[in-house]
Amino acid sequence: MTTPAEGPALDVRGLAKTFGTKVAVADIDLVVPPGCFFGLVGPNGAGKTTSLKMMTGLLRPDAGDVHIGALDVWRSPVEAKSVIGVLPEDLALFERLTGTELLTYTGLLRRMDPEVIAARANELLDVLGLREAAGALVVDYSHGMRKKVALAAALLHGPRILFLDEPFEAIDPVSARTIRSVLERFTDGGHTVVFSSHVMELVERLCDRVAVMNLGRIVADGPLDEIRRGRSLEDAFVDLVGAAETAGEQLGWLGSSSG
Amino acid sequence: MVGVFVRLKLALLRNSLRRNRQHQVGLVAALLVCLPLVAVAFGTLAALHGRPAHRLDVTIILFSAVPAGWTAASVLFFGVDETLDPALLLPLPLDRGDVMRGVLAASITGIAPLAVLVALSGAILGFGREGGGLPLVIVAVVCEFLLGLVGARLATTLLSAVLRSRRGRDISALLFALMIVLISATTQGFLAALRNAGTTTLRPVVRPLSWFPPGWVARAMADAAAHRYGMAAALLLAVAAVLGLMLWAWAWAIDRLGTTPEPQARTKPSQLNLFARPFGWLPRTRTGAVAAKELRYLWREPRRRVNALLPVMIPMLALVAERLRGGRLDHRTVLIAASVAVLGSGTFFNQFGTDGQAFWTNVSAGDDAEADLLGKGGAAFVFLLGAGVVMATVLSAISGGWAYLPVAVGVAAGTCGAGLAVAAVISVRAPFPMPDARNLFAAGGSGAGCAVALLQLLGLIGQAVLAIPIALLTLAGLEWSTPLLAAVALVGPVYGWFVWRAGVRVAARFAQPRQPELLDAVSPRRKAA
Repeated sequence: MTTPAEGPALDVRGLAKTFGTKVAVADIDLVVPPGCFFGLVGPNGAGKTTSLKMMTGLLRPDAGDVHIGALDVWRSPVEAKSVIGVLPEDLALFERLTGTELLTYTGLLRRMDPEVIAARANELLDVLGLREAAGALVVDYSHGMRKKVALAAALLHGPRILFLDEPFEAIDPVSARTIRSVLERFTDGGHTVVFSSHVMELVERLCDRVAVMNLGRIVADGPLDEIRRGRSLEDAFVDLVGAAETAGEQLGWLGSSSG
Repeated sequence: MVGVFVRLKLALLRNSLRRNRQHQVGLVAALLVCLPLVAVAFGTLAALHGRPAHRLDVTIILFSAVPAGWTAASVLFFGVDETLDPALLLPLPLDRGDVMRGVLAASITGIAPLAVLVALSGAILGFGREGGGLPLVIVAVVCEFLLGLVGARLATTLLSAVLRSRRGRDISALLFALMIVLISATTQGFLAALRNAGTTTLRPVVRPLSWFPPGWVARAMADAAAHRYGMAAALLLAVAAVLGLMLWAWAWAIDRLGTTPEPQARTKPSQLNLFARPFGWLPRTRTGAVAAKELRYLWREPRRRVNALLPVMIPMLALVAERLRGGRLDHRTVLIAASVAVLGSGTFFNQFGTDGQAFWTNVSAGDDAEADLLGKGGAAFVFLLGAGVVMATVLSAISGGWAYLPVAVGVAAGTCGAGLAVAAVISVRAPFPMPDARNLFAAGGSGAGCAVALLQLLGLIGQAVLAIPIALLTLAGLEWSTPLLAAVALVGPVYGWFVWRAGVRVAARFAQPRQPELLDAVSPRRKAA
C-alpha cells in the first residue's frame, strides 16, 4: 500500500508536552506512510490522547513539529486542518443539534458548498445507520450513535488523514463493524487512518503498522509483524509496557460458594 | 436498615463537605438563608396564640405551602441526593418495606427537614396553649411533617422516569430558574396586598386550600385550641387515612420503577435544518452556521434559555409590579424595552465557555476567530434586538406611546452593540469553563465564582462607558429637544453596529493565534485521579 516515492502522510518530530511537573509526552518521533492503517496503543495515561491532540492542532506542544504531507500543522493550521479529520475520545459534540444539523454545521465551518454538505451528510447517515435518528438531538444518542455521527463529521469534508481516539471503545459489535467497514473503505482509497485503541484484537486485524506508547514515550514502532514477533499483540504489548502478574493466592474466595 | 441509611446520608454529607469547598460555602449560605426563614415561620406560627381571627387563615396558607414547597423542591432537585432515589436501590437485595423505610429515614436526615420540623413546631406554641388540646396539636404537627415527607417521595417516584430523561431534566432546570424569579416577584405583590388589606385578602386563596389535607391539619389545630376535640380528632384521622393512601401509592410506584421505560426522544422533520425557519435568511457561511447554531441553542439549551428569558422577564415583571402598586404607564415607558439589550448583552460575556469542550469542532475545522465571533455576536444581536422590538411594540400598544417606539429600538441597538463589543473582548480575554451542573445560576467551576463576578462587573462598566454617547443623546432628547430623540433612532443602530464590529475585530486579533489555548481554557478540568 505504501509508495516509497511519496512522502509520509504524517511526520512527527520531537513532539513534547508537560503539564506542570508531569511529562505527558516526551520527545516522540513518528512517521506514518500514506494509505496506512496505523495503530497507537498504550496503557491509560501513556500520552496517546495528548499526542493525538497535538498532531491535530488542538493542543499546542511545548516542542516538536507535526507535518501532514508537506503541511506544517502548527505553522499552517488552516491548510493542514483542511486535510485532517478528527474523532476525539471525549466525544464533546454540540449535542443540542440534531445529527443532520451537526453535519451541516461542521460542513459550513469548513466552508463547504451547502449542496455538497447535504448530499454527503445524507450518504454518511445512511451508511452509518443513522437515518432514523437524523432529526433527533445528539444529546439523546447512545454512545455508539455518538461515535458514528462524530465519524460522519470527521469524514464529511473528505480528509486525507483521519485521527481517531478510541473509536471502538464502549460500542456495540454492530456499530463497531459499521465503523470498521467505513474505515477500511477509507484506507482502500489511499487515505491514512491513525487511531488509538485498547482493543488489541481490532488493532491486529486492522493495522499495518503499530506504535506502542508508555509513560509518554514510543517504546516500539513498526510493521505489525515486527512488533508481534510471532506472539499475539496483547502479549507483545504486555511485555513492552510491563504488567504486574495477578497474585494467585489472593482472591481465593472468588469462585467459592460461600458468601 | 434505617440506621444504615441514616449513617450513609451522614457520611455522604460529611464527605461532600470535606472534599469540596463550594459545598462548605453552600452550607454556610444555606444556613444563613434557612435560619431567618425558620425563625420567621416559627415566630409567625407561635405568635398566632390568642389571635383566633387570623390564625386559621395564616396557618392554612403556611401549612399548604410546606408540603407543596417540599414536593416541588424534591422534584426540581431530583437526582441531587442519590439516597432519596429508590430506583438506585432496586439492584440491592432489599424488600420494598426496607426501601421505603430507608428512603424515608434518609429524607429526614439533613438540615432542610430539621428546619421544616422546627418551623412547624411553632404551631405547638400558637395553638397548644389553650385547654387540653396540646397532644392533638403535637399529632397535627407530626401529620403535617409526614404529609410533606411522604408527598415528596411519592411525587419523585411517580415522576422518576420523566425526571430521569433528558427532557425532564431540562424542564425541571428551567422551571427551577423561572420559579425563583416568579417567587421573588409574587412575594412582593403578596406582601404588599397583605399590608394594604390585611388577611381578608387571603380569603379567596384560603377557602380552596382548606379542602386539602394540609388545610384539615390546620383546621384540626384550630378545633383543638377551641376545645372541639372530637372534630379535631376526626380531621386528624382523615389525614392519617390520606397518609396511609399515599404510602400505598408510593409502594405501588416503587414496584413500577423497574418496569417503566424512560420517554424516548422524538424526531421532528423540522429538526433536519440547522437554520430555523425565522432565520433562513442567514448566509450559508461559517459565520451564518455559528449564528444559526447559537440561535438553536438559545432555545434548546436550558442554561441559555434561562439567560435569554430573564432579561425579557425582569423588566416585564417590574412593570407588572408597578401597575399593581397603582402606577401609570406613560408614553416614555416604551423606552424600558431598551433594558432588554442592556441586561441581555451581559449574559454573553463567556461566549466560548458556553460551547465548552465542543468548541474543538470549530478549532479542528480551521481557525477563524473573527467568523466565530461574528456568528456568536450576530445571533445575540438578532435575539436581543428582536426581543427589544417586540417588547417596545407591546409597551407602545399598552401605553399609546408609539412615537417612542423607534427611539427605544435605537437605544436598544446602540446599547446592544456596546454590550456585545465588550462581550466579544471579555469572551476571548477571560474565558472560563461552565460547570456541568443543574444549577443554571452557577457562574464558573473551580472556585472561580468571585473572579467571574468581578469580570461581569468590569464588563458592565465597559458596556456603560461605551453606551455613554447613546445615553447622553437620549437624556438630552428627553429633557430639552425632541428632534434629538429622532437622532437617537437613527444614530443608535449605526453606532451599535460599528462599536460591535470594532469589538469583534479587537477580540479576533487576540484570539486568532490562540485557538488551542481558548479551547483549553473552556474545557472543564479533569479531576486528578
